[in-house]
Amino acid sequence: MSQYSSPISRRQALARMAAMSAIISQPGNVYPAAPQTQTQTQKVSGEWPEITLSKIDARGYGTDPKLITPEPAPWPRTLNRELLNTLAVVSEEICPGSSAAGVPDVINEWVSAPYDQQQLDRKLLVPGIVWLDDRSLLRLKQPITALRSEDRVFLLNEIDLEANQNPTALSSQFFNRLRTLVTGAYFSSPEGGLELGYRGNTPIAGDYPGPSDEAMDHLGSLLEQLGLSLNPNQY
Amino acid sequence: MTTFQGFHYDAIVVGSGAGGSMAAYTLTKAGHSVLLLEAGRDYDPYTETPMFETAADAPLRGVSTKDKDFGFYDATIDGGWQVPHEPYTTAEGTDFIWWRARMLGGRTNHWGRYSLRFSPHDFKAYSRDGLGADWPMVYADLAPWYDEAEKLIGVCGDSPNIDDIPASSPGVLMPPPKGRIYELLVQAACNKLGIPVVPMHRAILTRPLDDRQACFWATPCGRGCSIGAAFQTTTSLLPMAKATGRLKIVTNAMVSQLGADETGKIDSVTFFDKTTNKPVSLPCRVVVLAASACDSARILLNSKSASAPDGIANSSHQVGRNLMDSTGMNVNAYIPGLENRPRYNEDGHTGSHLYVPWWCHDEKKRKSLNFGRGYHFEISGGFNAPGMGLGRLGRGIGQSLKSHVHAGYGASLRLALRGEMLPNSNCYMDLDPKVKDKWGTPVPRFHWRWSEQELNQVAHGLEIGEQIVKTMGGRVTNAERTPEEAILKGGQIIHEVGTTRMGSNPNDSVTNGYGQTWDSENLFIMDGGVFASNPHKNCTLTIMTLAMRNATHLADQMQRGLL
Repeated sequence: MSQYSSPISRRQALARMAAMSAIISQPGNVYPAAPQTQTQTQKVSGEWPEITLSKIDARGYGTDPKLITPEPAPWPRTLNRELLNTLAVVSEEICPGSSAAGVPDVINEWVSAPYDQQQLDRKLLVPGIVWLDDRSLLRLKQPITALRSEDRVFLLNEIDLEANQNPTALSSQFFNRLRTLVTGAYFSSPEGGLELGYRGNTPIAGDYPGPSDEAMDHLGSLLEQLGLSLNPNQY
Repeated sequence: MTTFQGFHYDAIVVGSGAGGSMAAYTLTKAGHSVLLLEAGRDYDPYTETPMFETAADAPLRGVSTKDKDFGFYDATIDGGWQVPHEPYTTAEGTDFIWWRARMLGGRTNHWGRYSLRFSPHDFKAYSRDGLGADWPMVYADLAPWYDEAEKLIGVCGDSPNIDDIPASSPGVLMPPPKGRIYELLVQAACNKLGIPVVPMHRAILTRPLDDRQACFWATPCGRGCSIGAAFQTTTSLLPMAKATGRLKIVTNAMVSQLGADETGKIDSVTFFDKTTNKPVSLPCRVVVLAASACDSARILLNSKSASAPDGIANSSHQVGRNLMDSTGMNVNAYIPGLENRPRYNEDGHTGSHLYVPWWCHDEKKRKSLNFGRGYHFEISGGFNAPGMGLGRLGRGIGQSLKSHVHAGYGASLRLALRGEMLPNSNCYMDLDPKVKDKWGTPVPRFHWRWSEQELNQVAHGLEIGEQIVKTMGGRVTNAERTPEEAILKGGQIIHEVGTTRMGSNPNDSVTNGYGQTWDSENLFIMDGGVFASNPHKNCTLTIMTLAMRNATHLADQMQRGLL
């Protein structure tokens, strides 16, 4: 987590909320220290922030990228340090281990990418991360990065509950989408794959061995429960 | 004298995909020299295939983008649903998409490798039910060629005595791999419903063949296969043809036009050299068009002459007509009984090991249906390489979220319907009167409307799919759809065929049974354009089988000095 989080005071957080900067548009500037995008000042209200996002007009990786040992995505990353910190602490609570697995970097690459789906996500995620901090200040009087872990969990559980109750609210759409992306990014990391028990991507000599005995036993129990049986000429 | 850059050639083949490469292989093996023109760049799967790279190694975890529609690692170069500098258009109300690749080997580098023979009734379906068109051949004409093609490309599967799956001769097929847990569950559910589930036929080597290795059960075939186990022309037919010393490949050669003399004989092939953007015209003795159904039709329609005012080989006005794709529809399912199941390596050959063939061929079952032709279900699911798609399993936060993902990993599956559509007068392509590509060649304009036949078929598939899922104790996660909502777009299955169909009558077909055009005796078509119908059994095996048979006939004609 240390690579993302930095100690942040409430005063600094409020100053940031006042400046309300999220995004830059100049290619090449990564994690800028200063705000560069036109944004609206916002009070701590819990309302969805109005943020004008600059258009991403960087180039994609093209229709013939190098596939063996791929190069890093060519577009500039656009989340500033504060947003990245917020993202990191929230990702860690959503899916523990996210920071060590580099999930915030994946999300930063994602919301900075010049493709349609990623641009849609950017419109939801960047204001959403700002909203999270706002929500934290409103409910717990501190920016989310300054909260104790159990308070962040409290806050996120509350948001999750609201997302279930009112899934069409922008804040709910944001949280659900953020969770989807964090979950996907974590479990597609080497750490996540290992944790999940993925056994493939390994060459096997000879015939494909098929399911393990343990896996067949599990299937056998399920079939019994469902009143089904395999064809005697089972393949 | 037909020479190019010092290379003497007997035939020009346009396109290096399934049909063109088989034609080039067959002609060169028979002793003829071939100049092969490929619109895309050179491509070397031995050095360019990302065999073990993971999602984490790729930008955006390898997900689909407009630059790489099937994901970062897909073996499609400068292609996908859009190709740089090569637009296409659709008529008002048409929802049709067109997949292309601009690389040596074309779409064979990434195809699904499903390789099902057409059945005897598929060749004479019109005679049986009055719908569509018959082929100018019977199954028995093609059966020995299917054997030869299957032996050459390498197909695994078996012959389970089902009329939807004609038997290969003994020793032709390689052994199929064992079914995986989710496939066995589908099989058990289908047993109860009286629906067969049998090994898929797939162009995957399960035994070594020549210098190609057997599958080692890892890495998705859609990326291409550097060990040659998953068939693609760039690791098989093209190197084999090259080894004869009688093949010259010209890449970045975008064919735009053919020329014909007053008798209709083709006397020139014009391509744009994409490295200079300049046209090059070549004289020719024999031409084989295999640029893909829609690109070949486009070339013909763009080749107008005094003797062919509506386009070369188009006296029947059938060029561009009878455009067909396979129907497509997905039943997505979640099976609680598969939650938290024991892990094992479930990659297999990364496609369906088992599938549901069409089971309603017999007269009694057919009569009870309100659609003419069948379909099959391809089964997918399992413990796939973890990717961003797992995000959908996230519920709650923290350890609770992780428990949900652990439980749900490997508990989803998909039944992908692939069905036969009938040709209809609303589905065709012509040339857009205004839009041109970078080189000034008019582009295809597509017209498309599904008929009741296809929608009723999909309605049946929706019902059966749901029955299968419920029998497994699962739930359909994309339920409550009308057939119109559920059917995938025209072109989306990438089985477009029929635009230069073969037949017995020059008035309603473009070629004879050998792919030889009725109007130009030295012009042959060897891609999916020649299909008289589009049975639900994925088209590539039959494209290659026909190309092998018809190029053998062509070689014989050349040998005897008839062409």
